[in-house]
Amino acid sequence: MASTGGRLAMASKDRLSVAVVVTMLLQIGCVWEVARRQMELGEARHAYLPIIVVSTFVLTDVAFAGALIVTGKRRDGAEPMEEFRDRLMRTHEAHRTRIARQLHDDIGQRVAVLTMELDGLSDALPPGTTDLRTRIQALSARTLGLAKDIQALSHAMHSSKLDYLGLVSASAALCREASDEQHVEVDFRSDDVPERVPQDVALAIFRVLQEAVDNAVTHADVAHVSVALRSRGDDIELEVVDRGLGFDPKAPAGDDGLGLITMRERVRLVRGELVVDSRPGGGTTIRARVPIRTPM
Amino acid sequence: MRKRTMPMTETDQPRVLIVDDNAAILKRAVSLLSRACAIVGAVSDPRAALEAVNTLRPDVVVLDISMPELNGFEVVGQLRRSGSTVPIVFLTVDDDEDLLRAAQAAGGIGYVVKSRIPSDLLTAVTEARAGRAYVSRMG
Repeated sequence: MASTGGRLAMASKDRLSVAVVVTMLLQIGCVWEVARRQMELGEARHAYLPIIVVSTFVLTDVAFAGALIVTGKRRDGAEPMEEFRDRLMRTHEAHRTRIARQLHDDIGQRVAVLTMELDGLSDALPPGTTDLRTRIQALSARTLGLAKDIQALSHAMHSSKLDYLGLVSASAALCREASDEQHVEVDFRSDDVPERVPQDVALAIFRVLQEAVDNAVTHADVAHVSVALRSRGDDIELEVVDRGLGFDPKAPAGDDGLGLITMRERVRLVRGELVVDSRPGGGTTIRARVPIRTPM
Repeated sequence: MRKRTMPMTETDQPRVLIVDDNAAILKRAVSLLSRACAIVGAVSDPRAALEAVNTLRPDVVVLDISMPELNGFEVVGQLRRSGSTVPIVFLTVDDDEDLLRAAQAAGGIGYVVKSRIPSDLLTAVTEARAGRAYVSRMG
């Protein structure tokens, strides 16, 4: 709704600007007509008067139009900025998706083919070349490791699991992977979450989950993190809780605070709200609540 | 759409349709399977695969999961809704247990990781034709 309001405000400002320009043209037209008649009547010596009048009108109109634009910009400043942030966030997400797909569907597959070719080369070696075979097999294993790293990077940028498995299973998988990789127990529960969640909502919640879990396992110094995904009426609620170091959410945001800002932006983009409850030494709870039916 | 129809053999070789939008993988799979299978079609467009299953009547479909517009799971969904029971061997670069479970839930009988095509694909196709599951080793 906010963006619609912004468009309406911009539209009315544009209409006023057009009205000013039309008035200006009419004034110029009228005064020019007066000057032309004066010249026809042989009063050319007074023709400079309409020119002065026209100049005065034009200058007044330009000043008025300028003031209108400046005040209009100030009044509507919040709306274009919000639209800009929305666009920035969507563009950023689109870039991540494109790079992730490129990694997964192109580079990852080329590396897979390379692994196959190395295996084929190893199999084609004549007997008595054990040393060479061992070296080629070692290369194949390293290439396979590279393929796995590419796959992991691709999933971190844009989870194809979210596309294939849906929000609940992809979230469960993310928590399981974080547990395995970070040696922190990330417990996941879900309750009554619909199977089909709009893609933008699912992506926003998934991104908040990624960031919140990453923050908890990286900064909270805890052995256990709880994640819950549940239905709340027409909303989906994500809650990530740790009993770790905590922080002051009101402290000026440094580099680490960028994650919180990004989470807020992602949730705001789908008309949801994010609550961060944390204090130094008192753990952190991050709660994102997003309506499933996003207003158009 | 890239579509290729091979001559039929009179042997008991399984009739296989291969679907993958990656040309290198498609070529590799055709080259490998044609030693022991009748490749009835090799297509890169998942929508063409739907038509090819109906017209070419393969014994087994080797199907990539990650494809633009229509992924492998969606292709199987459409095939099953249209009444086809053809066994599916999924192909993927993802060496991943979650995706394997999703592939099984979608109705796949085989799951082959692309880097293991030389060692696994023919076995997976043969097993699928016999109604048995085959999964590439993970990890």
